[in-house]
Amino acid sequence: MKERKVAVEAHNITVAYDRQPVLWEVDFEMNEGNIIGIIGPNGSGKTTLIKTLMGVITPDSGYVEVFGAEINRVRDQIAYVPQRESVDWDFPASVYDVVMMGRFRKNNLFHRSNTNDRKIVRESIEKVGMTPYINRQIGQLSGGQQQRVFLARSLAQEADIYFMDEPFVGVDAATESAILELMTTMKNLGKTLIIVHHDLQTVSEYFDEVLLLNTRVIDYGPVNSVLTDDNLKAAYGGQLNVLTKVGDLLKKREFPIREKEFKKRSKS
Amino acid sequence: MGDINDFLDFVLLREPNIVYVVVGTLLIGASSGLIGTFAFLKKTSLLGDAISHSALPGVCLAFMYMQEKNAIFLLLGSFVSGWIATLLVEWISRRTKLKNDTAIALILSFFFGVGIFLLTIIQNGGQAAQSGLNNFLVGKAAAIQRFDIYIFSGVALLIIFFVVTFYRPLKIMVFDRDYALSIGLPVRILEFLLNSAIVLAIAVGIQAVGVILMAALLISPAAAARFWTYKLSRLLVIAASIGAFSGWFGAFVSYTAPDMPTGPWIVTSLSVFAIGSAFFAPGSGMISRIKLQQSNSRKMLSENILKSLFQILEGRDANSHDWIKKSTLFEHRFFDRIKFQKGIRTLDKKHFIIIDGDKIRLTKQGWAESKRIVRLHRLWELYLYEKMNLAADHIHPNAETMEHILTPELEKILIKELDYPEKDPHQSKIPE
Repeated sequence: MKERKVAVEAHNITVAYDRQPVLWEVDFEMNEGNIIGIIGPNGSGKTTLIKTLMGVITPDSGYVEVFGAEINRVRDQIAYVPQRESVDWDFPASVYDVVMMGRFRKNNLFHRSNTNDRKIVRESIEKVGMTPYINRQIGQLSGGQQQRVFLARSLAQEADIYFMDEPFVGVDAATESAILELMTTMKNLGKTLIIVHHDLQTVSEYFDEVLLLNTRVIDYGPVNSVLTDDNLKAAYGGQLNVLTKVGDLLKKREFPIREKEFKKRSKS
Repeated sequence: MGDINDFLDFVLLREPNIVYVVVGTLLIGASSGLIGTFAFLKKTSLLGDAISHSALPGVCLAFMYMQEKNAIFLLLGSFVSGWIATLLVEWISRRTKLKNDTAIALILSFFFGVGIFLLTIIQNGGQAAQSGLNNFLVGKAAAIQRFDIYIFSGVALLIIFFVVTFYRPLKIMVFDRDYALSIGLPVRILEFLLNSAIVLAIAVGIQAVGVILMAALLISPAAAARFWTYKLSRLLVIAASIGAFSGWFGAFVSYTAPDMPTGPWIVTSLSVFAIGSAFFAPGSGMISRIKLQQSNSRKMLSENILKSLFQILEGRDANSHDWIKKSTLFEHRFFDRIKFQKGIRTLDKKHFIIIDGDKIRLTKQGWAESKRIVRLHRLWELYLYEKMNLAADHIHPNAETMEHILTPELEKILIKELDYPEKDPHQSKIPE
């Protein structure tokens, strides 16, 4: 078997909103070519974690590496499917317009779309079965269709790692199976998929590996070894009191998360 | 207003001075409408209002410093105090318990209050040069000097250039900020540039509209344009055009009626566009929605007449083109008499029926159409009965509506899903 590379590694990430930590010392390595679920209760920091992995949020301490490099050097290799509710769907754009955003990279800020871009955009729309709606205003689509538009945009990014935030929420059965089919196709192409998910029922069906998260990493590994009674109790059963109390205290006293000299990225 | 000669002078650009004012106000209006579209899409319309009110102290301080109305310094003054206001609003809503709307209200009234205070000091100071500083409150387009016009036009062109060049990154950032960050767009720099462009547009716009009403020149064009299109590129073009026209209109009023402040007139023009769009825009406007409803009810009426004709013929086991008395139709089903007359006239025009005094008969086309409606009605009843498990005596009212809206594609699906049925739940035959 081919030696697998590390796709994403998090080194002691801590992230706080308004001084209250939502991620504590999160540390892991994820191998490429897997479908990985990030599972945890509401408010456990799942979205914050993938945003940090993609460099959308800068951690208060710790650092992230993607394919062994700093995120800014490998941005073209990542694709992002945000939560559907995170944008205003009344925005004046068609399905085609949104998917075309996937062809846009920071190093071609003033680039105009060429034939190749347009071809990829059309193919991506075709892959999620949205071709009949290609010129439709995005606000007129159903929830499932909107989710597919986001999927098509991520396909148009032609990346190696796909970050998806709750892609199965509020979608119809047809969209769900379309997403699952795409996941399998992409895995077979050697892509890595990191998917935030909250429905425990479907975990073993969808994912190769899971990361069980509740502010800190409870466990990470193959689905069967992670979804044990003890782990689930730790993630879902009640609050971890000490951690919550320390967080509240930091906020109240306006304490820094890390003393200054530790903030800098260091490999030692 | 002035006489007809003033009017012609202005419209035909008969004086060179008019050319400058017209070009200047067109550009100011267009750039405000353009950049204002992004403020509108970012849902920061109210912030625009706060920034424009906050420009006043900047204008006054610039004047006090220079002791004259120097366009560059006045522009700089309003730009700086507009930016300070923006940052303060952001800081207050992020760092304190106060919410964004409270922060906006606080900053707006505080800066405007300071501005009025400074203005009073200047006016009591009695310098000759200060006359006309009042124009910054409600605007006076025609009072702009030629040199100033160059500067304002330059700034307006800069804003237009910015929007055109950064069109795609701005679009991505305003639609989906996190996504923009994930692909590595310099979001903070873009936001800074966008905010600066908004503040600049306000700084030049207050010359024509005044600080009190400036927000309208920023937001109304986009609000009006939104009714006409859902493509961002077209939205920008329409908003810029509405802004440009309103700017021109303000200059026109200012020229033909020199005592009038221009701001209120520009806002009047903008409001006509916004309200007019809300009423008359095709599709999303109110008039077209009312029209659609009317056309629906006409369609329902004429289809109901056809259906009744079919049912009467079916009951008699009669020939498809037998004559039927109007009175028989009224016995069969309730029709409003006046609407009924309109309905049969429509059907006559479409050659579905032939009218002869108080008798009606179906044409071949009319027979096919009436069969189609009855077919849809009975198919839908069967669908409700079989697939949704509704009782046979509960399905009729729903089918009365659905028969008018089901498309040929849906009809095909229904027939297939019901496995090519022959009878409806009431054992009536489903016509071919």
